[in-house]
Amino acid sequence: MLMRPASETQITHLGRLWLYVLAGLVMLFLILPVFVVIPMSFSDSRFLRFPPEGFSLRWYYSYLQSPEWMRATYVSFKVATLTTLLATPLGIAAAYGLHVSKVRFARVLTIALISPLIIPIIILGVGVFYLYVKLDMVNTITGLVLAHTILAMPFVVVTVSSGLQQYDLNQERAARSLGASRLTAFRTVTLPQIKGSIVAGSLFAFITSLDEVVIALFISGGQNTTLTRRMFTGLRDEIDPTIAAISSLLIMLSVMLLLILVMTNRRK
Amino acid sequence: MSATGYSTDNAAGLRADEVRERYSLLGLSAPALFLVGLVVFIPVGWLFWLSVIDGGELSLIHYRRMADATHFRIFYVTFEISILVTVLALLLGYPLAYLMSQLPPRWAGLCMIFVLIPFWTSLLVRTYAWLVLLQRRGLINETLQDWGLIDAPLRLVHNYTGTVIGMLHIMLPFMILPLYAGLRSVDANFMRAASNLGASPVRAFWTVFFPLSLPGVIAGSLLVFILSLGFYVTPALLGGGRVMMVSMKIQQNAGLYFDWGAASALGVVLLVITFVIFWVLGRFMRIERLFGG
Amino acid sequence: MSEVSARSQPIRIENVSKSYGTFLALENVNIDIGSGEFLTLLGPSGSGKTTLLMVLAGFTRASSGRVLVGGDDMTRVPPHKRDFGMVFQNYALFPHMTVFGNVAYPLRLRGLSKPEITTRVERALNLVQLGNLAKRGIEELSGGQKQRIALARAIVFEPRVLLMDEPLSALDKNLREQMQIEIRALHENLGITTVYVTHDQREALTMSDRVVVIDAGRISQIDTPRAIYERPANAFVADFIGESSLLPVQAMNGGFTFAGELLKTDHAPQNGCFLVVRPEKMEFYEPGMEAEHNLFRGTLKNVVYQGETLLAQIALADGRTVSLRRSTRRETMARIPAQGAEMTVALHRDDTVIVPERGA
Repeated sequence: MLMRPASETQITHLGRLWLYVLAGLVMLFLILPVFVVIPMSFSDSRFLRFPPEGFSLRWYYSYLQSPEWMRATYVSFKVATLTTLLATPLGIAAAYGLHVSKVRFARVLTIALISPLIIPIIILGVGVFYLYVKLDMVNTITGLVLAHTILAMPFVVVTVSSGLQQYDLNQERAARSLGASRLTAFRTVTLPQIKGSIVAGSLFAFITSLDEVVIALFISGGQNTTLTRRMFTGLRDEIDPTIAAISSLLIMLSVMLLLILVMTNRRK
Repeated sequence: MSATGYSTDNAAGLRADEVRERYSLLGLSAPALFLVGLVVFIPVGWLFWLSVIDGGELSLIHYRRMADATHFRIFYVTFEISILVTVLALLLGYPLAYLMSQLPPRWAGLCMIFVLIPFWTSLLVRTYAWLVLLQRRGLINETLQDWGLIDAPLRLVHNYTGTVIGMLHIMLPFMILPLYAGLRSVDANFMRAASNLGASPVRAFWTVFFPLSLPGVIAGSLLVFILSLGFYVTPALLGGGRVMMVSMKIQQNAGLYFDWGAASALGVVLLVITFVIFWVLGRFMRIERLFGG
Repeated sequence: MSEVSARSQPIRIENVSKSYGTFLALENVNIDIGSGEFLTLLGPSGSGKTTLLMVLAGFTRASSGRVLVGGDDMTRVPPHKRDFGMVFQNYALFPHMTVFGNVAYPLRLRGLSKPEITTRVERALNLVQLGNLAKRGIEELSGGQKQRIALARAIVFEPRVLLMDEPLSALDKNLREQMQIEIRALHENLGITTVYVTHDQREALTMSDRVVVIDAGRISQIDTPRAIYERPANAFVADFIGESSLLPVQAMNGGFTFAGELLKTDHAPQNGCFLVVRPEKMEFYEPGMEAEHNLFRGTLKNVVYQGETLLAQIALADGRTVSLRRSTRRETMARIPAQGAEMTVALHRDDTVIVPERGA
């Protein structure tokens, strides 16, 4: 089996064995750290070890019973949800408007919308912090939502734009010729067909907000400290093993969201 | 035929309709742009402004203060780490991306999951994982000692090494995804032709496939490099205070010392470098493609 | 007549022009279309025919001029309020709906009741002979079936005008010819004013009541298919429609001359004209033809056997070629001389068509 050809150039699987091994090692490097955390979170001791010593749910209890951690979790999820609810329609409207409008500087505007992805986040963090200090918006939910929205919106714009490019816009014309206004045509014909892109975009938006660290470090605090900020401080000062439990839960959330994404887009 | 009066009236009205339609479509993007203007352009513009103001007057003193050994070292370290991470990501990422591009869709999808799961996992969680793995009595050291490869634990974290390893892990998916997209678009017929013309598999790869894959290589490398330049979280946590990158200095200036002048000057320099790189890149390809747009 | 034709209306396109910056896509187009007429816009790619259709549909705004339908000025009415049915080149069927959903779409928009919708959809599908496919998904259909569903969807709401943008260009030859007949039959049945766009002159001649030949944004000729073929208005039309050779002729002494000889023809002389020679109108020379025929003397260059007809190419003294196309009957084949031999062909004065270069 190893001597069978593996590609167009007729190189054999054996000749390529080193490639398989190397790729395998890289994949291991990628995935191992992520999943190593999960068993460690069940460790009974304060010193996180692998394999874990004993089996215990104490760090999960510690998390669930801590008012500070729970409050932080609540803040993060609330901000993420509000961000998604704001970024998704704004992003869809922008992506659609720029795609359909034949104005020449539409491209410049697209780049402007995507710019938060290009500008180093530390600069955004400082800038937003400065602005919020002046507007007295530091440590507010609103402030966080607005800041996270501009980070999340580019993802929606990019995924929806990409979905629109693969979509035959002529169908909207057909719908309009049959009596649908532009809005109705968009709602009944286009929207159902770019559903996959929209779901992807909003999932990206949600997770971007949930995982966001840098800006939160500057502008979240007090009652409105995010989960990420708390974790960051916890990691920098002393490694609270509760973080292992939180991390495991976050990993499972990520995998779940990824599954949702794959399943919604599979129908294509 | 109609009176000429009609036609001129009509032409003006038609033109007005056209303009109205165009701009109302464009207007759909107005809310989004407004938000970006408010939260991005105003603050960033303000920072530019702050970097040239000292005590109420225009001054370049903040920039001049950056011309000292500390700052030089900071920029040096930042660039060094960014280049190192980019090169390592390319060396490790290319083989995997190449393999994925050659596999049938189901197998490629399976490999992709190995790339996507870390990509979707929180940055903090991954950094934390490395913190635990690399510590003195962490998994890596314990395993190496068990296998008899080392006698004493290695210092793998709270230093340069840890920072590089952590950043590499974060950056690999950013290298692999554009690289994979680029490699997949190389037409299989090219390799067939090369083989048909007498090239050995190795020769065909280096003379035909690799050059054609360069756009993907450039896209991935530039993305990783730029992200590394401005990176904060991982160096802050894995560097143990021994590794100072530009982003950390900016945070220190702003969050700790409230020295807006210094923070913004550094920020401006970082931003300018980033934009120059993107501008150069933009001449060769459409930037939106980098992000899948 | 069915109730539909009572709704069908005449169209007047009045001084319509469309420019994109400095490029003039349509220039002062004037067309009057009768109620229930099947009119084809014919022209090469880039001639402006699709632009004109889009102006009619409302998707492209004219730069000036008016579009009147049944007396109502539709020029600034948005597409979805025009009540026109339209069939697109790539069908533009909605993949996320079934066949039924697609055809029912315009009826749902108009707020008809469910039973009414079902009745009408069934009727429309039966008209295109696809009544049994209502539940199918769009992906499962063949090209020809998709075409018919697109048609059904465009007529189900009894539009006053039907617009078609090269609907058959994606189909193979046999299917195309079959669909031409079916579309024509549907038109006879429903009597809707139809505007059809194509670049295929054969299609235009087969299906239309009248043909509009468009050249670079301007109308060359509007006429019945027969008139377009037999009496083209200018060299462009003559060349675009059917097979022909164009021989330059000189206006002299009150008539036209070619190769020095005066031509027998009814056309009034003017400069810059061409003689249109259709190969099938050419005849073998027989004594006595000098009275009513124009003669062409030359040598036989080539004979191309094409199955049911043959094409004989005769080289004239000045180097130009005229062709003769006859059926391959035994008597005809016998009259073909050897290659290189002298041969004279004749064109009856009624078939001698002289046209200016451009303009009408």
